[in-house]
Amino acid sequence: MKKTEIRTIESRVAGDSYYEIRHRSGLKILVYPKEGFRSTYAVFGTRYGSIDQTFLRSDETEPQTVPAGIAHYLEHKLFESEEGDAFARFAKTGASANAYTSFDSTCYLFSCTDQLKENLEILLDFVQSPYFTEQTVQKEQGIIGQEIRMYEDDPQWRVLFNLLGAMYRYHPVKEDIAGSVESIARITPEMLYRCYHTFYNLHNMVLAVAGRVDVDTVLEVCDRCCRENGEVSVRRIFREEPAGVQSHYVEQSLPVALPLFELGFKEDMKPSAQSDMKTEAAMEVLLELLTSDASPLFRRLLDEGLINESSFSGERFEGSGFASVLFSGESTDPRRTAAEILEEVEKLRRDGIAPEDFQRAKKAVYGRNISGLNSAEGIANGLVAMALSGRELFAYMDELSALTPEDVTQCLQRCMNKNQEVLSVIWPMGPSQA
Amino acid sequence: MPNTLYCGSVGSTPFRGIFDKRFKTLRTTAYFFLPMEKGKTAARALVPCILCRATRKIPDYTQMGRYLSGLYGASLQADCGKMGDMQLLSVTVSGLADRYALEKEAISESLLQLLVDVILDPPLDEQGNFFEESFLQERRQMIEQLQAEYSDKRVYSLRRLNQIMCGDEPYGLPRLGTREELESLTAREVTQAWRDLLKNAHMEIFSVGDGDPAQIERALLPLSREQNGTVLMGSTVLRAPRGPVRRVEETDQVAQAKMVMGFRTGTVPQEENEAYAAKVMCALLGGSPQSKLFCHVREEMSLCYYCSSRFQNLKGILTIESGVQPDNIGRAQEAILQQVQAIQNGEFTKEELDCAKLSMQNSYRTVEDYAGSLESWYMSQVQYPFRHTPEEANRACWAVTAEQVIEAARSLRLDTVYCLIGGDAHEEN
Repeated sequence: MKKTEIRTIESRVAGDSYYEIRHRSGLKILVYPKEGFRSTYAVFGTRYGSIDQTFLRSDETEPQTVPAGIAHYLEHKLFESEEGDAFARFAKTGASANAYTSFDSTCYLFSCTDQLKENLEILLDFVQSPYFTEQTVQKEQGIIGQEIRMYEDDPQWRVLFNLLGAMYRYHPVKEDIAGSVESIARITPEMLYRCYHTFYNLHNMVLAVAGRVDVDTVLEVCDRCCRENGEVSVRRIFREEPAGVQSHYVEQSLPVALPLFELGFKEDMKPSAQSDMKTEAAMEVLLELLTSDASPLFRRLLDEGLINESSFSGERFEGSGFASVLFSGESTDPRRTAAEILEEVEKLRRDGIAPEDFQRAKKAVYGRNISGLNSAEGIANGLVAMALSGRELFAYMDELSALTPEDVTQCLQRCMNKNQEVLSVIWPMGPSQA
Repeated sequence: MPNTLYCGSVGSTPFRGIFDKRFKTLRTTAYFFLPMEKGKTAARALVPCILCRATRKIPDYTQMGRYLSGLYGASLQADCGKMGDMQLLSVTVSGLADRYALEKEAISESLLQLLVDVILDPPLDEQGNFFEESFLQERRQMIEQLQAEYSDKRVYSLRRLNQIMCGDEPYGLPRLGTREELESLTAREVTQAWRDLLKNAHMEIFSVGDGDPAQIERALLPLSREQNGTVLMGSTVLRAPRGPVRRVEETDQVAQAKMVMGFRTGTVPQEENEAYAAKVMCALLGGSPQSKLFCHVREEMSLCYYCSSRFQNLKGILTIESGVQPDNIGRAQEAILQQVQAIQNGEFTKEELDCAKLSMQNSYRTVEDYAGSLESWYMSQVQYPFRHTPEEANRACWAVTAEQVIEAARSLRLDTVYCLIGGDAHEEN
């Protein structure tokens, strides 16, 4: 039997430390105790999200393709077991439980202030106990159908997926995480079991616990509740994505009061390739330089009445085989706003980044990252997201500290390139168009 | 001691705070309470936004942004909310605790000084008014914020219900005013609202994080006044449940219909146990994934994607929000009313009641770990005759009996039902 290995990861700047445990079952466990905390936040995640639609198991020869939305469907169904649902079990301890599916992960979580052991047991148990029947799978179609419909009305969601549809020809990131009413109608209990046994392998999973917690408690429960399974590795198969975007502009009308825009810059990536931590750190500083309250771009867009403070933002959007920078918000003139952003990026590339601007942006990003460590919720979710993408929280913060203006300049030269941009707009639907 | 409420004062202004080194930040907020008054809310709502743009020392908006970035990404935020029939305006400064400054900068001192400066010393034109440019910029953004509420149909539906149900009460007034009110404002009127707020509003200061209360009291002394504002706290308009239920149906281009039901109890709980009985009843009805509405209406009957309840203690109003398929509206409403009736008939087990209380206990205790939640918690207590810590509230919930829950449910009268369903676009200005 394999042994459990524990190491401590420390951050000098943050003054915090946490434990990384390679459990003998194959599970990676991260325990981040916060002194004086009353609550505990735990996240149990697997590297399985909406984009993992075609895959090849290491013990098989033929790849398989499954309907869109199956990872999310599985998330809903795992809460049920023969004995009842997991929410009912958490209700007895008072813990607040939830789950979410993203493009590349599925996470189950709870937050509690009592009975941590019991709650961890419930979490590990229900995620490791799939139970699907024709009847229960059938029943979920109504609920998820409603969820999909709700997102159809959500302008923020639509503006993003319209953009992704214009950006990618094949990459499944362009498909709604919940799938479509048609794709989920094809889901069967057998498919769910198959995806479950492929991706819910402890070697493919991470458990992070932050707040009021100690390592021994977590280990004791994991020793008891982690069911060892044979290591199956999975190769995720993505079609080669053609360089460039499918279309530079996409629009839709919805009942919104103001137009919404999202301007994205695609980076061409090899299938399954992923950006590194240094690039991500440099990107965070670059976005601070471009979009914060201190930036000339933000000022100009405000002065011209093109954006508002409560909605404008810039973000990094990346994962397996996809990476982009997205600017979004409400704007009375999305086309002009996009032109201004493009021009500013060009200007920064041409003129270079002023040293004092770089220092200031870096300080702001440092402050934000340290502040983030106040929250057990933020820590646990962050640890899992980073671990599932092969990254580590404190190493990321060290990358930030070590950044030079040249790193950010290089990042700027590589990303946000001309002809790689897509503008997606949601226009208000006037009564006349109805 | 962690989580002990510090109670002090800055002149006549009550100053409270939770000081604890486990937070790596310090945030301090100055609150101004004023009654919601028709025709005045818009000007007042704009005040904190304009104040947060600049000071006489830092007169330019971008300069302000740079100043805050240089202080490790500190933030300066304006807010405008509603608490019962009161309008609640606030300005917050928040930043890293001094011990994280890499070059020994005094972050907290700079931010406290900034808080004083933005409130008392904004840049003014020759006539002593806010600059037209700042005013126009913030007014435009506030109008857009008002419009954005229409884009989120869940928020919008709840807002419509409140407007329809409480149209003739201060609570029914929009917290940011209406678009027409905003459009007719002048910089002079907003400047007047600022002066009025400084003179008359009831003011409170709250801090949370790693900081020193004595330092904060000293630094904020310029904000102190001889006496706190004349505004009466805790006054609220109560309406008895109306006779026939008012039903309003509107159409828009939506795939999923929204239904919001508003109930009134007709009383504002004066006694502690009454207040908590209503809260426990609301949790049992639709406050968690184990609640009646979630289990029956969503899970068992698959009628809604979401179906949850919330209780406005200060107004004695309970609302139930749901997202449904348009042809299920009738069934969903029936199913929801059946669950209300079930509680009225005492059809719940001790276990169900305990689960509701356990879930509330979890929320109350979690409050203590989050700076923002602590601040909201203690500010929400300001209007009550009793002021509880989260743990006291938790104990009070455990003392609520099944009979009290039944009684609280029996006081509910359906007042208004608002539905937003698919159809022709609705004209929103």
